[in-house]
Amino acid sequence: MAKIVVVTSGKGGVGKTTTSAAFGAGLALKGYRTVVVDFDIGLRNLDLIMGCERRVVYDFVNVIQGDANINQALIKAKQLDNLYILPASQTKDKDALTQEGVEMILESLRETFDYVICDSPAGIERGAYFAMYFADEAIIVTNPEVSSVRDSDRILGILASKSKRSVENMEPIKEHLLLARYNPKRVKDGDMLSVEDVQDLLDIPLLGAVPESEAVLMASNRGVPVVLDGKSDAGDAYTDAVARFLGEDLPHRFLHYQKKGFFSRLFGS
Amino acid sequence: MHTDSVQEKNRAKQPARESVPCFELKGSVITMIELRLLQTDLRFFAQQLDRKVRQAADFFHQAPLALDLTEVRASTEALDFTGLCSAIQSNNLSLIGVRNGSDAQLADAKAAGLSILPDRFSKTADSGGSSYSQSNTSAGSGAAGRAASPASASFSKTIYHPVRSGQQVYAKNSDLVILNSVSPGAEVIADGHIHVYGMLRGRAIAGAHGDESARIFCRNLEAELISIAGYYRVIEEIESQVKNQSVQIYLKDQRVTIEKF
Ligand SMILES: Nc1ncnc2c1ncn2[C@@H]1O[C@H](COP(=O)(O)OP(=O)(O)O)[C@@H](O)[C@H]1O
Ligand SMILES: [Mg+2]
Repeated sequence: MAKIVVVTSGKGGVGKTTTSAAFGAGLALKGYRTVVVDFDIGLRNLDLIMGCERRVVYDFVNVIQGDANINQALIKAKQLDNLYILPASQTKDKDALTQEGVEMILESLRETFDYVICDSPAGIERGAYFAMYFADEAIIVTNPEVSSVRDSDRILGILASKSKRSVENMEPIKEHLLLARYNPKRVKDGDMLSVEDVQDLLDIPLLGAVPESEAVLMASNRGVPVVLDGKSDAGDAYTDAVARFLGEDLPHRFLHYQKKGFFSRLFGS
Repeated sequence: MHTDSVQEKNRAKQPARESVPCFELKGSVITMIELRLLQTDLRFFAQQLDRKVRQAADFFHQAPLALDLTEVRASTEALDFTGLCSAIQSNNLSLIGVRNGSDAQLADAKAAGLSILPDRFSKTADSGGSSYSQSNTSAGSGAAGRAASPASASFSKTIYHPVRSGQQVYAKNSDLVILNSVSPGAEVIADGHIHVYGMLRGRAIAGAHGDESARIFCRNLEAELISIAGYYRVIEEIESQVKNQSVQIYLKDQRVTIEKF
């Protein structure tokens, strides 16, 4: 029986899809059968980031409407045996998602996978609601800015009061914080909130801070999850975050600004 | 590629039916700002309102407002409701309606297109404070006859989880105890006292039905707004000596008073 994990934030552009892809790949690398489900109806881009957009034939909505079965719609990731994605539909009709349809799909994925990662769209509308409704755990992606933290706080409130687990009085959704696009230099200069500030405001356990990094953009342009990069700090930060998600206790590596020495500036790191 | 067929199918599945409801009704509590007119001479009204709103523009933006006429209802002078409305609207406040006026005043307000709010929601018509403590004692004495009266247990409501932005907690006819933090953009309301043991960063409204003896107790004050029985202070009006302190907040001579422990 899989765990359903929603990656959500309230705001767009904070790094949800990047994080969903990185966690999908990271969990698959650890040997877990993992599927990443794109809930961003009309704006799908998970398949692009994961480099399998050309192989999309059927999507989420086709399965809901009975035009295809789930196995026809799932796409295996190129580089990893354990990783699949279920692409979002390009339809503009947001009502194509129904609660029964989403439940049917997630329940059938639960049977065959260890982790079902739901990549939530921005906002608190239908798509975002369905992405979080059935979740067992939530990864709240936040940027170190006041407005992003406020949106995340709002989403935490919705998880605690509108999700299936809360409505049915079950054990609450397990919450995790992931700080994305973290820039220790700008934190030090006072232009960004620090990890401590964000944790003080949201008060949920921290999976890690992923530094702002060119490697993320390059990896997604090539359609390769950044954790497979092997030599970028963002990739390492995601690898650590996945390990913490799985219960490992690791020291945080990327929280504080370190002035680069001559050699590391020369050779990059 | 499947888009068109998918949409058509969807439309066919959901024909318009009379039995599909267009709306639902729910009871809800809105916290309103009360604007209490103190005199009928309104020459400086617009100017003073403007100044007040500018002190805390974020707080007032689109805030619902009730115009209360208790203090001027004895007056026979006509009120310029059109002028009041335009001053209120130009400050981006939403005027919900008028209450506690004389019959003539309310008729004028109605003629100016305003709604009349029932008196029962206002604190002058509701002895919320005394009935709260009265029912408290009667439940206590009644408990002697009945074992473990459930009524006495409901005089405080306890919240264990954080109250997040966008959430609202209301303790009706009772105190409210929050063992966690109240985020900015969250609202905690009680007809009685409020206790907050985490950070208080949102709004706290005690004595919501007019109990002027209600208090707010908190371990760390960073609130956006605190209010007792309709009297309030916004964050800009909270002195820095009491910010982030452990305080109690109460009404003294109709002024919201903050005192360090
Ligand atoms: N750690 C990072 N460093 C640099 N750019 C990033 C990082 N994380 C995300 N981005 C970029 O930010 C943009 C938005 O990211 P995305 O994951 O699509 O956000 P969301 O799904 O929340 O809208 C993308 O262009 C992505 O490449
Ligand atoms: Mg996205």
